[in-house]
Amino acid sequence: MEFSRRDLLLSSVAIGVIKLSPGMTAASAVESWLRAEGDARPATPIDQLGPFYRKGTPKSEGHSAMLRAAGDPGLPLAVSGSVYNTRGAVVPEAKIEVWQTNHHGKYDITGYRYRALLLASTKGEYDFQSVMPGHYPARKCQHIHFLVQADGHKPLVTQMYFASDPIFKGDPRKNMNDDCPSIELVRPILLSDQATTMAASATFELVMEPL
Amino acid sequence: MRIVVFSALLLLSLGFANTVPAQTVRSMTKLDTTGEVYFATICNGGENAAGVDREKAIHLWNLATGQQKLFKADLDTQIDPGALACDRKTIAVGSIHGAVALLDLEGKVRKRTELKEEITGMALSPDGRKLTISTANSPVQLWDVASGSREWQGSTTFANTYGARISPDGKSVFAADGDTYVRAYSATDGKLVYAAEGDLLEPFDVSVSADGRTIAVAGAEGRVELRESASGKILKKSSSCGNPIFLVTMSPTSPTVLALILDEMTLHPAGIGYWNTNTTELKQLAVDPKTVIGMGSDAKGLLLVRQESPATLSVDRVE
Repeated sequence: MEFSRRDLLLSSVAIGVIKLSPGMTAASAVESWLRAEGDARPATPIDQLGPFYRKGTPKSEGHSAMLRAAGDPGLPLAVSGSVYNTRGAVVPEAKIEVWQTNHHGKYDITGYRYRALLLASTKGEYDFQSVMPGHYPARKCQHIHFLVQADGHKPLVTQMYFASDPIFKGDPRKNMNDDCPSIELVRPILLSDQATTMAASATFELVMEPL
Repeated sequence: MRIVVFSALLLLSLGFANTVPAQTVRSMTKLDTTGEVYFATICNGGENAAGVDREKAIHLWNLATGQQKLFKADLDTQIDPGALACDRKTIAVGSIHGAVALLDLEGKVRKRTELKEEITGMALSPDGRKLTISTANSPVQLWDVASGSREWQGSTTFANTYGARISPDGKSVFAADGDTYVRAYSATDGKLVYAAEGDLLEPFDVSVSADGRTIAVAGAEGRVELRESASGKILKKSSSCGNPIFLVTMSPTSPTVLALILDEMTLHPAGIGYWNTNTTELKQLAVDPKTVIGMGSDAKGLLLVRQESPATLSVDRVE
């Protein structure tokens, strides 16, 4: 009988060869370990493109983008992550387009507010500063759209959701709805005090399928 | 498109700003209905109309007699507006969870399959032999109605297809794609004929003229384009209404186009556009968009389907 790498690590935790820090579960620890080793990752679930994708978004400098402007209403939000493929390898310099509504739930369909095109770093990293997207009547869940393209990979069209969204009533696993296709796309947010205001941050790893 | 259009009876009125009574909207026939029908379409041939209600029942009306038939297609979930097509022999319907059912006009399910992807649009060929299926995440597919099997699937750079239609001669498929291109395929083998550059925002629907020479395309830009079907070249553009257009229907008898205009925030009906392609102005018909649940055409021209009351639909001719 052959054991997988995951099985061996879980056994090691069970017999005490690997000890976990308080609050860490065996499953999450092993998942983190495997990711760190570059093992296979599940592809990010796909989600609908639109409506209101708009081509021609101006390219931001480097792998960072600033979507919000000074004085914009809404909870400041920082999103960061890395781009991988399902083999666990970093995908460098992927082209990432993001778009979302403003705080009031409105897309800019005549310009490019709350839209960005950035290039992930050579280590696959990206980040952008925005505000928590608003709700709008046609969609139940707050969301940010992503379109990720890289040579040798299938384009990834997906959306990021927020565990803090009131629609999930504090428990996304229990209160999923047809507006959000996968729990994997619902990300926890971290609230932190900035100098003058509260801000939120979230991570969103993007995993592409090789062609 | 995971949106709920046509449930407008529950919504606030968006008013009749900029409407002009240049055209006559005349009730052609009244249809009794049971259940809350939120989307309806005129079947190819123009003899019947079909609709879907909140209980996932399918309604079929004979427009001459008003007779209503009620079917259950055993679909697991709700049906997107647009995921319904019909003609003199077949009703095709798809669900949000990807179930596709082909029924005859007596309601018997002839074929049933699962695509595991939200079905957002369907269109039958004029001869009834082929069916286009649009989904939330993939390019257009062409299906053979008799066998209930997929013949080919188109391709895009990254996006799904919203609306798709088959030419009157059955030889071409036109697709309005989310990557902003308008594509034409050979219906026979799915070979790409052209990918025509579109606007900056997505096109949502396409309609083919009766002679097959032109197509009308409209979407999030809020205007209608008339394109040469053989090349995709833009021939004319209407003015913009400032809101997305979700459906377009070309008249078989005159150079006119009906457009269902949605409010950009609610994605509910905000107006019915009417474009005479010999002008540039996209007018709005003086009808209450809250009541409109579908549109289409018959041999004589353009039709609207409106819900007059919970128990009555009106099929109106636009003249």
